[in-house]
Amino acid sequence: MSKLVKIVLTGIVLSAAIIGIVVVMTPLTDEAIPQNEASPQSSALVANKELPPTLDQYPKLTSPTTLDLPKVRLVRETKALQEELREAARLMTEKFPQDSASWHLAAQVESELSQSAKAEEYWARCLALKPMHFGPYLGLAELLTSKGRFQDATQVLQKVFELGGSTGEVYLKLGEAYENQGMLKESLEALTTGVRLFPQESGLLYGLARLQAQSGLLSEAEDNLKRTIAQGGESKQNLSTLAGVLMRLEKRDEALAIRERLKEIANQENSATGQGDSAFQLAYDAALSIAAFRIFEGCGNLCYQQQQYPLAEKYLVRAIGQDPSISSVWIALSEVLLHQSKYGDVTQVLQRINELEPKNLIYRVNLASIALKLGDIQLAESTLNEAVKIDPNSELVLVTLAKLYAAVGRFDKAKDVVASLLKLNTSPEVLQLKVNIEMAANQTGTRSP
Amino acid sequence: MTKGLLFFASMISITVLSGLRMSDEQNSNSTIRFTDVTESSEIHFRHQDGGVGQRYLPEHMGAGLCSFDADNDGLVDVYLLNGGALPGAEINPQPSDQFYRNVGNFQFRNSTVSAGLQELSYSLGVTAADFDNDGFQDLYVNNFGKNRLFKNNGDGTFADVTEIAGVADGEKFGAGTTFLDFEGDGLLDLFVGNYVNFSFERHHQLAPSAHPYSPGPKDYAPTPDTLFKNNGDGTFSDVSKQAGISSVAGPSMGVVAGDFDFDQDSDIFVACDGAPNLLYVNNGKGEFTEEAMLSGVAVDSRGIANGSMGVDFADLNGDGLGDLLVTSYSEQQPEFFRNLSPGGFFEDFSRLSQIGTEVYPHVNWGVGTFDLDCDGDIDAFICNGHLLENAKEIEPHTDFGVPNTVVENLGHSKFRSVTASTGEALRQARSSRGAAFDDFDADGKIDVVVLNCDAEAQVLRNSSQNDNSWLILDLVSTNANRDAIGAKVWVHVDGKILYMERINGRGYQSHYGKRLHFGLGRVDAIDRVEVLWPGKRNLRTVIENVPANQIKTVVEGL
Repeated sequence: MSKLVKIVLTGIVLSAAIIGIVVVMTPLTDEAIPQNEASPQSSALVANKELPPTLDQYPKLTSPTTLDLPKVRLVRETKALQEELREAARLMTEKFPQDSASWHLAAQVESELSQSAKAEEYWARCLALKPMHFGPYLGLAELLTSKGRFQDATQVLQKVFELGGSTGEVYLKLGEAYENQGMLKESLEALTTGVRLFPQESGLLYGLARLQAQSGLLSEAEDNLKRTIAQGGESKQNLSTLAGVLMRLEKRDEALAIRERLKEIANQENSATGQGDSAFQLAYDAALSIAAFRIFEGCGNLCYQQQQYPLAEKYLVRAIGQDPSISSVWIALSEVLLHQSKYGDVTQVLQRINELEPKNLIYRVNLASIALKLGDIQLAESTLNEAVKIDPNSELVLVTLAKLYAAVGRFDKAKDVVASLLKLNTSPEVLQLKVNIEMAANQTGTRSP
Repeated sequence: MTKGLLFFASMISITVLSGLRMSDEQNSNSTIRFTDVTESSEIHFRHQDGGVGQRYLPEHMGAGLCSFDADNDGLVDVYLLNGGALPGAEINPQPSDQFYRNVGNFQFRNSTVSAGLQELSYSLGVTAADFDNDGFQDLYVNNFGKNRLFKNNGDGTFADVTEIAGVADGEKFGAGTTFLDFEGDGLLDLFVGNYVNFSFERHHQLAPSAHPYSPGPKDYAPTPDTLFKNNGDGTFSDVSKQAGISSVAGPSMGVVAGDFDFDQDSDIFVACDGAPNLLYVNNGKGEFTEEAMLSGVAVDSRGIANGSMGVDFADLNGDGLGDLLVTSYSEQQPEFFRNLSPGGFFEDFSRLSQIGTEVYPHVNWGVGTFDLDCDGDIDAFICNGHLLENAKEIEPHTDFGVPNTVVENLGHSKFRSVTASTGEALRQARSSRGAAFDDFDADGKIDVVVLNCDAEAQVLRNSSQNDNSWLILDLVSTNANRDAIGAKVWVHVDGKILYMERINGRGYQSHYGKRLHFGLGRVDAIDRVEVLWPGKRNLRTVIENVPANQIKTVVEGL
């Protein structure tokens, strides 16, 4: 698979994962970069026999920057944040009562605010609308577990399988639900199946290793705990369990080394804890903040799906305020803004995405495309040149850069870029691009940059 | 492996086999019943937390209590701890710990003043033992502030000997405490658990931003525990540093001393609040190393440091090894640390055993592991209740007042809650803390006194109706510490071997159970009782053909 294909597909996957749709912004060429089964390489490089468009031929977009986007996490009073979440939940269920996602969001809010009876009621309403995603099932199961209703939690989780799919988290929760009922065999089965289906999920692997340790399968537990750490990193939990297993396997020296590592982690945590605030409060606020991000993002995505773009924009911006470091929400916001033709804002959002995901070139190409259409040649060129530095062999970037230079009449530069491209790809499409640029250069003469 | 250890190991293997034969009672109805006899017992004790709405950390703690025979009349008396006035509180009269003398027929008389046990400090933990080997039980009270040692004068009165003994332990935030003979010299030493370095100033600094919870244990540095060595002349020396106790610190709560690794010396387990538990392992020379993580008792089965509160030590699965049951915070299972080998490796088997299924949503504190229905296996009584009065608002699946829980042993490391069938007495919802377990009416069944936070204590008579037999052993050592703390007992009955160790300082910052209680099932006699006395000489007493249903005193060497 060529790098171009990989990059484009990466962009697709990321976009799709965020809000379930694939929208990629207008590329520099008039032809859209294909996003699915069609060969991105051939389509992207299609060059007709007409001359490349000049700058004048691009539609001129004008769009001011209106959004003041946060760069750091906003600090919000706990009570105010709680009230804001309540209001968001109320609005979602009022506006979209037939969409199961609205009740899922409302239930999440009530659960976070310790209103477990309401949360359970809302999740019941959500499930009555037969959602096809697993979040509500997992949420309700977790709530029931917190109440000690382990059997009910198991039944809810089992419903997920009726939907014809599952996730590693579902298997993990199911395994834990069986464990809570003292059903070792069933728990082991659920976790073993889960690990077989989702071998890369370290949480699931850890769950299996714990159960294996409790079943006396110590060597298996040791192997899986070490895999857990290799895949998901060290945690106090997995290290503690591994230390116990190693002691039972009479590997005392190894266990002692782990104990020392645990002490280091504990010391780091202690030094990181602020002395000026309540530790419990800090933990509570942190948990609420994370939940708020998730809920605001969910509200934004729901509104997007319902084509309520201004509202979607409001909640996605709010999610960014809770945590500006998560690229998925920025990507979702860029698409919402694009739907509203807020190109100026899209530009600054894409710039932020590029900071968060510097190696994902699709967003640099998209930024260059928007910049060009806004007449910001300098930004378009610098963005693409940065992309070339990151990956000099990116065919998508090179094609886009060649067309940019052609559009602004810098044909020598365009030819240089095409020469580089030809070292990577001698397809008819690239050759045609070379011919088109040469034709354009001959017809118009070299324009000043 | 030492000769002694080989002997223990052989006993264990026999017990494991017999354990497999134990009856499976999964389908039978529980016979465990309790009757509230608070009113008729005349224990009219009300705990006062001394708070004025500031939610200072000490006021959430409640307190422990102690059941012991203060006057050697064969009836178990009760000493209940009380809080005190915290800044801003005006309480008249000042709350005092209360001593209730058992006068028989499940009736008690408040004898606090006549016994000289007026303790006005803010009390949190307590234990009792005969530290001076004079044949009378003495009392040690662990306070928020200076601690107190009361020497039993043997005439129904006590004398405050704290200063002479040198065991005040400064001005600390106390917790559980236990007597043990850590270097095997026949003198009972004293381990004092300490919580955190609380200060009112820091509380006021943090409180404005602490919502919905008030400043908790993680807002203060933990205070190291203290170990006092008994010098044998009425004085003690602080040997915390030399013995390796003060090298670590955790927010200590309930403590228990026992021989967790079966090597004939006393180790110490400390339940820690929101931090890994501590296990001080004795090397037999009076030096300890902290090995909770390596022994599998630091954290729960998910690798999480629970908010551990109380602890008890008993053979919960009938395999001949003592296990630990540790109570925890809400949405945490009480930890059932199943002892896997004589070497002292444990694993948390809580979830699979279902011992904590009923209490999972609640905060739990006091715990007693006893054979409540005398059927030959160990059941559990667990005290519940959140620490905050507005708990319902922030954790709606629980509350400040929650009924306590009775868990029945089903065999094969499985348990079930039988609270609902124990009677009206356990339907009362209070925020319980410490509980003391003993046979207060000498009927062979374990009764309970529960200390409730900022409320009246509750007295529960075990009114279980069945034909099961019992045996209560009162051990007197003549070569080691007189209380025989650290002695191990095997009771051979009806093809089973029941194992128990004489321990001290247990539950939630409490003490109880000096006399060892064995439920026997439907038998008339015990085949054999074997006692391995504490100390380095591995002395044993074996008694055969012991009639059931009696309180029997066993004296070492007789």
